[in-house]
Amino acid sequence: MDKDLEITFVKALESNQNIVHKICRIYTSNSHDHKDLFQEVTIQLWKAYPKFRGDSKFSTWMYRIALNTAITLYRKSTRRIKTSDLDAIHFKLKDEEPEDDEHLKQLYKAIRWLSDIEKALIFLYLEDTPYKEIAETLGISEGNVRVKLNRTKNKLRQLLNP
Amino acid sequence: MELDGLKNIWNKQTTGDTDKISTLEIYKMIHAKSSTTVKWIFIISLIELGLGLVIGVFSAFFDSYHTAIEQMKEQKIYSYFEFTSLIIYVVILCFIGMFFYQYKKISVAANINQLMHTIVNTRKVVRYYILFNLSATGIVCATAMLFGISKGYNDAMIADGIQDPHMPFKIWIFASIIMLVVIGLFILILWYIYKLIYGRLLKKLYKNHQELLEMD
Repeated sequence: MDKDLEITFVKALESNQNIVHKICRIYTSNSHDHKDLFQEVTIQLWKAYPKFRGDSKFSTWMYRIALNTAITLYRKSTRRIKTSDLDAIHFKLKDEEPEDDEHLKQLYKAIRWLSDIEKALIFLYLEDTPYKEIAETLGISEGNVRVKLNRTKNKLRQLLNP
Repeated sequence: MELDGLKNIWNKQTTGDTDKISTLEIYKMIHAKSSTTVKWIFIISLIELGLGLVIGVFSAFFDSYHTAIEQMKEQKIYSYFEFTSLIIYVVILCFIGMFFYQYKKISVAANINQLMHTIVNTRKVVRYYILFNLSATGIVCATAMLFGISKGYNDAMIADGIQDPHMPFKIWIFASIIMLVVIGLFILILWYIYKLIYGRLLKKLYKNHQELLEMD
């Protein structure tokens, strides 16, 4: 693959890596698995990059590949354990408020109890992704997205406020 | 906790220093093809050993194998044959162990330097492995041929009624030259086969090493 393509890809991924990290935090429970999944996602993104025509934003395209990798490829290769260890979750908030920090940790903890598909749905919801795009990313109908997302949101509410 | 409120906090996330992946690391990830190559080197060396063992077991079904063993025992060189075989298998197992170790090391390489270091080491081990296999083949073939020539000459002389025969020096030289040519040709063919199998993998490792060197 030519060098220019490689440079564009690396730059785009570097500036959008936050998306991949968030997905890794949802689907893995320790830093080793986090790095592993990040690498797997990077490889899959790079493999698919020549077909990326720029019709959609790079970040939107990333959602699909990264989630697909986390759900299908990564699930096949590892058996992940759901954990309640909040210290294992590393992130940084723009305005550091201790309360926000704690809330976000609780959110991650709750999300980790969801199924792989539910995790993807909630992730896309939190990322403010339109229903149409969620449907395209997950390969289900828009109506189905509404129903499933409502169910998942209720489940998450229960997990957050037991 | 309300989900809409959490959504706002969610969107405040940035990549922390602990997680941040540098441009160099991303390059490394998309260029880290070497682990697959080293894995193949390990697999092929295992197949090679397996094949050697199968041929060894298979040859035991032939009478000529047993005759050769009997003759070696008669000439009191059977223990040499056993000892050499043992040494060869132990060394080959050590090489296979080293390939596996390099594969494990390359899979967890934390930075480009480590990766390049492992690639260089793997290339070196493969070269030593090939060199050992070719030398061992040469030594074993030379011993077997010397034994064969000497035995053939002695048997022929005894059949002609000459007791306690000694092979003349000229015949020794002539036999040795023929032997060297035959073994040389055989090793050349073997080297070519190794070049076909491992050469491609070594080239891949070299190419990957060069790519990594460029970005380091």
